[in-house]
Amino acid sequence: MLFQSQGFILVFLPIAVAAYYAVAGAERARQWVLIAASLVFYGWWDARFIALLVGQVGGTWLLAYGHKQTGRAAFLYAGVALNLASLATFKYLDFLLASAEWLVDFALPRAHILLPIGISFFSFQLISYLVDRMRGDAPIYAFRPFALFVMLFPHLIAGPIVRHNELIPQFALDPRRDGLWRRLAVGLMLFTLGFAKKVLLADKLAEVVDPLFTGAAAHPLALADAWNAALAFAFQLFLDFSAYTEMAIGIALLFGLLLPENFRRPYLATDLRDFWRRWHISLSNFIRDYLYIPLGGSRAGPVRYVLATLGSMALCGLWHGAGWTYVAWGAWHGIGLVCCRTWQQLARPMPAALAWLLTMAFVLAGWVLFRAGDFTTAASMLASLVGLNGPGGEFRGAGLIVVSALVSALIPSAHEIKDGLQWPRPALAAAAAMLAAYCVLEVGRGPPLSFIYFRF
Amino acid sequence: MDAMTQREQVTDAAPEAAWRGFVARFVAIFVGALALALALIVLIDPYDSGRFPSLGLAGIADDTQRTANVSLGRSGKFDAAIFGNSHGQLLDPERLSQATGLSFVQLAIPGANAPEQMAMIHWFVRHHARIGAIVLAADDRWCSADPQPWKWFPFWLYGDSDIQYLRTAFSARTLEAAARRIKHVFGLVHPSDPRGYDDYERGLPPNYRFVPPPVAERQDALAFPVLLDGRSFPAIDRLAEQLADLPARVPVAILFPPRYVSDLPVDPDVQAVLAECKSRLARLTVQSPRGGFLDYLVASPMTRDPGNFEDAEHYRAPVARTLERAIAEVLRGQGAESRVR
Repeated sequence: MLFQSQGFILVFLPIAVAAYYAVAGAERARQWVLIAASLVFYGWWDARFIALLVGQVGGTWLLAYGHKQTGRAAFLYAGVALNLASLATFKYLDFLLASAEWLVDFALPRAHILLPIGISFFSFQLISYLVDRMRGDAPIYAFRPFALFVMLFPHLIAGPIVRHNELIPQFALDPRRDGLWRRLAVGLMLFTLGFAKKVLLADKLAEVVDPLFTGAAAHPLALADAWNAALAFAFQLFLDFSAYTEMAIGIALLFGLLLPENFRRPYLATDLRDFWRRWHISLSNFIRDYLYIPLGGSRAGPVRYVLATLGSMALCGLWHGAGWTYVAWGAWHGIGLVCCRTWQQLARPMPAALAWLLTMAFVLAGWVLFRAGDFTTAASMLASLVGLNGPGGEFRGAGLIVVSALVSALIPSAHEIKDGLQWPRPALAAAAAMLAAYCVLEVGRGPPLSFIYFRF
Repeated sequence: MDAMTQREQVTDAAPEAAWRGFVARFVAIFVGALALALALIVLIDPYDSGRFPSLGLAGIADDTQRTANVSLGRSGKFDAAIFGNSHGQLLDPERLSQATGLSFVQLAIPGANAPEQMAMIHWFVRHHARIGAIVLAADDRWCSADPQPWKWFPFWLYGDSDIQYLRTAFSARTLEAAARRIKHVFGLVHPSDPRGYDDYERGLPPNYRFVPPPVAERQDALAFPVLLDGRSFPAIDRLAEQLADLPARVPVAILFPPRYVSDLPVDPDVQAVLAECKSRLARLTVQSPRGGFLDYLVASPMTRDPGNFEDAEHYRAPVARTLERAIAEVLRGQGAESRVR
């Protein structure tokens, strides 16, 4: 079930909200309502994967409980291994086999396992909990709130990646507490904003992007086509993912819960470190806390810093997809971050406009690698971008790209909107409601398009 | 309380009642706008589906046969219909009506595979208690061992479920169709052809002449040669079931329209499967009192003359007139046996 589908908006969400507030006074009951809704939501894609989700959550909780009872860290290591094994099996097995095949130079069989949607997100949340327990930063929760922390449907499929101590304490709060109507209003506004960005911009950009990248796999693109593809994809990716995040935060607010921030206008960043403080913030924080710092971070000498940065960013790339192009994209950003820090240590700041231009060019080149299906296509696209495959081509959807750029640059982050919306203007409610209704009808034109980050 | 929940406690200048009003207004307008859209879709009935009580607007203005056929296919003005795809599109329902005394409608849909044509036949049969004749311009798509539905065909418009119709019709696209129907009422757009006829030769240059491809470039151009396994023809089986539900007196004519000779199969295996497929379709017309099977998809003077074609698979008007005469003869009972031209 997709957030922007008519079934979700007109049937599932109203029923879930109504059921939740019908039992709002009883903490356990409302948590069970959310768990049930989350299982229905997840099972809508493929009911078989409910067993995997419940098994991974239950197994992790049991191992954490075993650790509490015995004090033996082996339980926690087993939990981390369990989650990594699940990821390795369901997401990376064919990738590992293909890579091994390349090394040994003979054919290996393939598993062809269907990727369970959202597995990267919920596996990482479970691992973060176990690591926090190793560090003594995480208590043992009752199974119900623990399961809900992982399964909560607004963030289950594509984040934001939430830490246990950000969410579980909120489950105890009565959703009818002070500020109920403001939370509902802000939730509706954020949901509508994300809905419109997804349906009216990101999905329209996909119509420009997809044929161009498909074409690039078959033959080199001309200069204008390559820029068309790269720019349209850069905005499609941001608008699609930030739309999902805004809808997720909006839905969570309808249940009285607050999810963390994920984007802060990343295309305004003037250096790469700034970019990663604005782009997919919950993942950046996760990578920083659970990979980069444990690998040595920046306080264990320059060599450790470079290795930690490259290693954690390459793994960040691999998290996005089971392919070497994703690893290369992560490593590309790792190299960029090292260069950026080195330059900043020279204390010779460059003009802001030039810094922004360089940052965006770097990010754009990375997106080409991210979107292209293989290195040959990526290299061809990058060559086209600098004119090596000849001039010409046609720039389609220029107006749409300009609007997308303005929306990307001007619309504040979800939390900024939440905090900034201080006065309930009736005209705003009317305009948002009309926009939401229009989007419901617009999405009815055909099967709704999935969010890009659902595949990760 | 941790940092996340503390951040929730922002200073709130507006009273709770004002926010409640905001939410109420949002929900009321959202629900009201969607209810209005649903009411318009039901009352205007953009495709003239006749599924629900409506304003009863007359006529449609729809150039796309995929959707225009909803109205044409259920219209009581017709008692006979032509089905197929672009290979049957040039058969003129007006001429066939004059030649047979029946009232024909053209329901061929360019690009349609067998499942879409079956949906059309089902829709027409469902809405007509008395049927004068059924004409099917078949092609090799009926011979596929795995007939695939066309991804973009609106099966929901022709299905039996009114709920499915309403669920899928709830869209901006349907509202655009509703607006077009309103414009049609006020004479602001051209109405659809009253019999669904769409002459693909319109706009062809007067001196146009089809230049056949060089022999070296000719291919086995049949639509699904790889899917012909010679054993099963599931689309024909379903057609047989549909025709079996008709009263025995309903005449059924099935023809294979001609293609330029370069399009005819050369692989003996494909030829054998095509022959078996034709034979199976011909058998469907046997029980029909004034039915018949007409096979023009053979090497003949007609298919060897490039002047008879607009391109390798679409014949021109003089051929269409020949086919219409042959169909009329069959339906008049002047040639009930299967014929090869």
